[in-house]
Amino acid sequence: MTQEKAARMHILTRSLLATLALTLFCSAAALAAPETPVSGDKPASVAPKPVASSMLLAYGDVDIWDETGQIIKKPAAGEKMTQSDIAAETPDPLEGWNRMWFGFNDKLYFWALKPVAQGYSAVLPERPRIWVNNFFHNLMFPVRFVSLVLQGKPSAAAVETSRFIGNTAFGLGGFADVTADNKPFKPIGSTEKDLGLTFGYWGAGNGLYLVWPFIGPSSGRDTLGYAGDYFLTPASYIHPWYWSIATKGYDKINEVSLRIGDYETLKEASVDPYDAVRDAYLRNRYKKIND
Amino acid sequence: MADGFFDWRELSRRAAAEGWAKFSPKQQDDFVTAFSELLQKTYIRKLEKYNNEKVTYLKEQIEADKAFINTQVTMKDKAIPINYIMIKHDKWMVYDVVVEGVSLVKNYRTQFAKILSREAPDALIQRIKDKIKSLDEGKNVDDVAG
Repeated sequence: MTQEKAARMHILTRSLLATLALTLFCSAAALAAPETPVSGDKPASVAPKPVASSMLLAYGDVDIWDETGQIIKKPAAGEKMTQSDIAAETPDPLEGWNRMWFGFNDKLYFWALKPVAQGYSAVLPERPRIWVNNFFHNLMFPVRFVSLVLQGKPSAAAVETSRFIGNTAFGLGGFADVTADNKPFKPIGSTEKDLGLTFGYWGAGNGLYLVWPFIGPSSGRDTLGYAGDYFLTPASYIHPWYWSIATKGYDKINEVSLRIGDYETLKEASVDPYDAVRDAYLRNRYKKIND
Repeated sequence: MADGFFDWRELSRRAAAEGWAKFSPKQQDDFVTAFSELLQKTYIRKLEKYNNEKVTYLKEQIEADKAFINTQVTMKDKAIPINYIMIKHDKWMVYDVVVEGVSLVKNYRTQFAKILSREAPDALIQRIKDKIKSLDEGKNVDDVAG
């Protein structure tokens, strides 16, 4: 009885902390960018971007399209076009520190994660591993739902909710993605959102590039988002704590087992793997904000 | 197959960006040769393995001599957007591939720009050649240079 009460108190304290962190961040974001437009379902891809003064921008790119195929606005006569470049405009002041953790994560992957994932794939065929992946993805519904609501996208949040209910009820608790082929009546954009992407959607910049041990590439903004996501992740509330870590660890191994080879190719092909990963992370996150 | 499909010179020029103008004509040629070999031995080899996946053409935009093609490759558990940017000489050739919002050219531009800000063009070309050499020697990716 007392233990149950203690657990409830524990959850309450954690949710309070989460709310506090979120409020703090929101006010900070609001103070930093008072004129950021947040209205409308249209992503902020056309929102004013800060003009960075990096050497990479000086190339004066004559690209017609951005990475997604959107036509880039042509500069008016006499106006010099400066195209924003998310990788160039995100500073990396802690490069030495980040490179150290990059090396650590690299060894962690090759010496621990990959061998374990390979052994695991030898035992379990790909199909059930995809089911496990579906299960954990379905379980992360609160992160996506809260993020979509905070981004003011009620129809996307509703679709995500019906997918969650459908997969949980008729997909054996989420192991089968039975709603994957069901298209919503009107296009709703991507529902793969988290809090870091939400802050980005509101107009918050990356701040700085960061690499965390175990977690991998991140940014100032995404770190705050990640901390918030922790409280929205059901696996965080498994008691005792080591079962929570074990569950998340299993999810990670399962995911790695489906992606073996991707990181290897990137590392083989790049001249500087650290910068290749930094660039890919920042660009991929930028795309997801606008998806 | 990849040789008539990719415009290696245009791709290399864009990846070297600022640095390109500082290369001598010989360095430019060496750079294109080395860089295209590195890409063929890594990403292109990987792209060619996508034979069994379902590719959907979503959209095609043409502006003068450039074209942007949106495609989607359906992998085992998810769909990955892959976009091709092409230029027309006597035929259409690809000069950039964008996978999940990550442009190949811009990814290398980030790497090359930092190296070129510290080292000479020849040092960059040598780095690419070293990388190819270690790949040819079949070194474990665990300790591939870099």
